[in-house]
Amino acid sequence: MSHDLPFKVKKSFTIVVLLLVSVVSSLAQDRLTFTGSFQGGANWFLEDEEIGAANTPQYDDELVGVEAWLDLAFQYKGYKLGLRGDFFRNTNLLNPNGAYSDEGLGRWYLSKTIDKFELQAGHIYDQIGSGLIFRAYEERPLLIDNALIGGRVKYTPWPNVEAKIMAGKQKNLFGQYESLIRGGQVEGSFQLGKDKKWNLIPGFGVLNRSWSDGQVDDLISSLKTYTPQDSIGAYFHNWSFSAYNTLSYGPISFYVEGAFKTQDVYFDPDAERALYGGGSTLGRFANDDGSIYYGALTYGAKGFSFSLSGRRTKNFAYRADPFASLNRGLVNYLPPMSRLNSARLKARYTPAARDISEKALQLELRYTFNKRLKMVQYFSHISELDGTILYREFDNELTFRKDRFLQVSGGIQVQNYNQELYEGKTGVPLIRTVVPYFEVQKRLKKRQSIRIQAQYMLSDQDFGSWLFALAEFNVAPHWSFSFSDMYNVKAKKTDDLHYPRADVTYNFKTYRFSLSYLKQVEGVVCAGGICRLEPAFSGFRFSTFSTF
Amino acid sequence: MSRSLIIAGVLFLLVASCTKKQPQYQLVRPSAGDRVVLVEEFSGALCPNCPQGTAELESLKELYGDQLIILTIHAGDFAFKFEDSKYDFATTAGDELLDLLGNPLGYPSGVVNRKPEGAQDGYQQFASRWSSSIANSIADSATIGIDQEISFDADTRQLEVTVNILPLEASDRSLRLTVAIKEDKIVDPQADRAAAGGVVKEYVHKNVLREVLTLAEGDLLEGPISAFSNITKTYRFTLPPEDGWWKAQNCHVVSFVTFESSEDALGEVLQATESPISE
Repeated sequence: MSHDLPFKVKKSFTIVVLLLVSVVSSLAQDRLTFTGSFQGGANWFLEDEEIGAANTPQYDDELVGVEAWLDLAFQYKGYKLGLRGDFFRNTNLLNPNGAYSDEGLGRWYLSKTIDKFELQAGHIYDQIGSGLIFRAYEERPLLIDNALIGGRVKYTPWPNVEAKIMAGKQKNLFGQYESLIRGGQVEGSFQLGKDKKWNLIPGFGVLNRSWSDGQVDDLISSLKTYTPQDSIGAYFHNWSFSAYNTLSYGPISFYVEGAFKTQDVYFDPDAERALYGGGSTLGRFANDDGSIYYGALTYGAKGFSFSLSGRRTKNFAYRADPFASLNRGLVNYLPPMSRLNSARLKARYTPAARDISEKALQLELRYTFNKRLKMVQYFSHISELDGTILYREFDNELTFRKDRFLQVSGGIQVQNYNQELYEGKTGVPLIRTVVPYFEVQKRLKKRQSIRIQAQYMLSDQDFGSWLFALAEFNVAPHWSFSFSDMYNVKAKKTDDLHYPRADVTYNFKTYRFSLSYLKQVEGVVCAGGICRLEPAFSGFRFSTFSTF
Repeated sequence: MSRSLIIAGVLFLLVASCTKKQPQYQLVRPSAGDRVVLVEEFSGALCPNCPQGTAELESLKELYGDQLIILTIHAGDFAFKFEDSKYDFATTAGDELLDLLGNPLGYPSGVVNRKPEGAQDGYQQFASRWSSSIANSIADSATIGIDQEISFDADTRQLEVTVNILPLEASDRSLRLTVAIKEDKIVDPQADRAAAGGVVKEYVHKNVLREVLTLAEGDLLEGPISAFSNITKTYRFTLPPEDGWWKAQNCHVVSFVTFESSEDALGEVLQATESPISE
């Protein structure tokens, strides 16, 4: 549940900015520093019913969706003041099928450092440990802004030890969730041994989330309709704890973290629930404690390096509101246990982290045979705790650098992807793909270079097989042009359609402008028992980013 | 003298009678009855999670009985046929209702009494929230009474619906009346993630919106509205011939009254009623 800021508060942002500009002018002689950034994006929707780019408000009526963020930061005599204006007009970031419009003060903060203390009030981005129990962060492409609206005190008694406590409520668009979040962390950094080659960075964090009366009343309204055998208790308070440590010695680094959550009511979309009318359905509130164990080992030496990480997650759905779902109201952050592929077809099936039942292991091996030849091998294996396969990936990539003008790389990726569980598509088989890929980068002459990329996805499931090709021409330091096409070779769901894309990017000092024309294939994504269609896109896309 | 005494006596009696308290009484006023809550559930034959939502609503119907009316609207991302589907549940009115109530973030989704309370964005709510919102809405008092008289000729399949609306409070705002037909017991394939193979071939669809006899956003009942001033509207519709569906004995008429929507907000459902077309 959210509370919108008063209309006047939103509108007063412009006045505040103007006042601050005048303050900046008057205080310039007192070494006031002023920095800022601007990020903007616009989509121009062009209906294309053949690929399914149709029937959203943008295609029907609105035609253009816009989003923009203006960040301003001021520093003066130890004080820091930050303001951010957010603007959304018919954007599809919040709901891919809807148009969201609003504007106002998206963030403000004021901080001051006094001796060993740093005090901050306002919107805070922070995390405890690696974020397993708490992370307040922003992810603009998904319109995630989980800032903590409240206060934080950091205390640094010694240079190598820092403690912090914070309290507040999680931001929800221009409002906030009702629950109260309080937490703290102590972290140190120590060097051990005679030659101080052993480094330890231990830490401990704790978090308390208290639901409001209204949230508990709403929850009870739901729970009291359950049959006696499914009845569970409800609590105002929940506690979570995290202990972690990084141990490094020479080329070896080992990070380990354990997180524990006390009994907490969360919605389990796969839990069976009895109905009064007989029979059962899937999806009910559960009340369990939860745990996460995470470890990462890295080794780096000349010619060879590797990183190995694993995580086990059980009942760790953690929300600021018991009814929040999808990517809303997330208190913590679980990064996916597979690497983010940038190549279009290699990234087509990407597994999201699952917070109720998951065990995952990934390994990356990097070999440098000589100055010219490198190889990367990657393995990932993700399953549910009962052993049900969720995702497997193997990738082997070779890079050959002939000279400073020519570099060639290529490899093969093999994937298994459980579409049934990741996307909620019942009865579909495990998707098996084999993706051979190839890339050439060549410097043509001074400041000019070209990049050619080709990928082929061999699959008998879902949409079938795909062919992707890209050509990119760069004129440093300002211009980049690219054209690509994704073609459904052996189409199983639609006609054998093309999905072309053309991009022009211009960089000038700290300004970046990009204009694209693209057609993007649709896909259904289901999480937490909720299906969400990421619709096909057809149209122009403009984006810009600048700092000043 | 005696005449004077008589006049004085009459005057005394008159004055004395004026000092007597005027008798007080309360008007007997009609009641709007219990608050009835309308859930407009958005679904689709290809939606694998939607049967779970439907089961949730059916379970709540067991608890709340006549105080809960379910209208299942097949519209949006999953409202398409399987290759072996016999029926297309999507309707023009359903699409218009989706436009009116807003695209949800995911399916199943529902709008409870057109109130934004608890909604993720706009008015649409995920299934986990429905029971809480229904319980809250049922606790509201009814400010409008609504009942309907159904007349159906089985031979001509002519349906006549007369809706009587009785506001219990005066209001400057206009009202809207929506009259819809829904049908139960339609057997056709439905995606279901809990089923082996992901599809129930002979799924029994319930509460399926078939037709709206008014405008999708409701016919305007222009304000100001006077308290206890009855408003009557009559609608006629000929049921299409039976073809596995449009079975009169499985059809119900749902009528509900909302406030007229403003630029910023939808008009809340004030009261609703449901009656079978044919017993």
